[in-house]
Amino acid sequence: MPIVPGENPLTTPSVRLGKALFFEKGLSRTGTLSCAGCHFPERAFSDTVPRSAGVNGDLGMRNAPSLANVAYHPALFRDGGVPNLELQVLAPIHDDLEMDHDINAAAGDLRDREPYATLSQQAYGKPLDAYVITRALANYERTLLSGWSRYDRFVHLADGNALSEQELRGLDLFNSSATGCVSCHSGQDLSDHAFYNIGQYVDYADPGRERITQDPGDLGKFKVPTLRNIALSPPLHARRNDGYLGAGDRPLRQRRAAASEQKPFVDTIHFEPHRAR
Amino acid sequence: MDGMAGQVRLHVVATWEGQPFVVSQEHHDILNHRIFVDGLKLYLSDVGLQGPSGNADLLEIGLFNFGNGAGIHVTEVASGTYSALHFGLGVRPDLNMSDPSQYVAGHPLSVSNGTYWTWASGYRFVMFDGRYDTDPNGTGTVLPTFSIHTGKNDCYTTRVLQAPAPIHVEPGDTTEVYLEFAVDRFLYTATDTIDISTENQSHGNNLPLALRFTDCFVQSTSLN
Repeated sequence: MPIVPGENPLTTPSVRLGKALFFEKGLSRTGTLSCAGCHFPERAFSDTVPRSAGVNGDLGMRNAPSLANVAYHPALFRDGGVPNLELQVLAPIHDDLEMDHDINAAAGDLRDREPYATLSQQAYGKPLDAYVITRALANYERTLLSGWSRYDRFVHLADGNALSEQELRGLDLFNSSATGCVSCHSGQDLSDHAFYNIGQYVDYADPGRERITQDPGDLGKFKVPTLRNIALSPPLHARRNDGYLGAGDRPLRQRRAAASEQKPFVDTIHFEPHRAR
Repeated sequence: MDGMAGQVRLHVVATWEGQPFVVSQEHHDILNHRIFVDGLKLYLSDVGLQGPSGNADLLEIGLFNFGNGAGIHVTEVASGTYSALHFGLGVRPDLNMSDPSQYVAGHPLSVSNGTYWTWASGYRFVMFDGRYDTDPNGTGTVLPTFSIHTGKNDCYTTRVLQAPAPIHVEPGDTTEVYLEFAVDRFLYTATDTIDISTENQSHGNNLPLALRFTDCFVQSTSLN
């Protein structure tokens, strides 16, 4: 079930306010970048580049993830350091690599403008402030749902015409022990939202989950990204934490095997030899 | 507790070898490095007096910026005699997990203070920034920087300081209490010395180092 905190019920005014704020460039220090500037609706609310540029021209720390189905995420960010969508809102607004602003200052600038003045009163009974901005944006993000694809119609409605024969073979392989894809990319969001080190690197510039837990065993662990709408979010495999995976990269199993030999914390996933149908 | 109220004026001050601490002045650390402290901010939680007259709360949470001079906090407490001051260095865990968007600008926990780690949903407890030079006789521009920011609940530390003499709070009077941080002792304790030329970055990603700094910060305190 989507996670909706009791203190922030999902109401129409709050979602309308959140949607307006999502496209509001006034949330950035320079007035040039909105949330939608890195999370394009037409790209499943993700970006088209490995790392997005902030208002100062610097690149963000990680790839901008798709926001589809974030309502289901038990923890936010690739390292899971933020426990809910309300607190997540603070990060891009304050990060000097992104919007580089102060949410209280932004609220002061927008408070008397429409539609914010009216919607803020309707949604939360008070003028726009940091509390209202975080709640409204969180609620809008909760409405960004992906669950009506041909894949969904095949799986949930048993629609035999939803997938082509080729796609069915791919699904069979995806679900097989030969690939093990489904062992992590499972459930409604095609992610178990757990954290794994899949052997991308021997040495990690980004420590991932370890930065949050301080547990050396969490070095290089990142939250499993959803595979929903992945075709809309080039470059391919941009949902890795850094967004890079060139065409010449070795296959996952080879990289994992190489990393496992050198680092003890790489999570073990057993692959079986592929068997042709 | 004697009942009627008096005032306590809590001064939170920073010193270097007994002299008032001034940001960006040149000093030498315990390893004889030249050191320039350009910024020093810290949180204190649950500051209070304790003693024969009971406990008296002085401050639930405060952010002290020593770049702006000493911090002074005035509170009315029950008159009586107190023998010690207790405090927590950092933001108390329940406050550390609170939502900063509920605090208005000007509140110690407001996100506008720039003390909140948005990526970890918690506050930085001590922010100790500056420059150093390994040449004790150097005269040129000092470029290498240190930036020690502690945070996360593991770094929250409480301490009780015994007063050198009983603290008497008289009805209607104001009693001055000085909590002092000796910045010159921020890099060593009786059992540990931190070499700022090699251990100079802490941003939530190196808990062992953050805990060593926390120990130094706490042990640098005294009550006057």
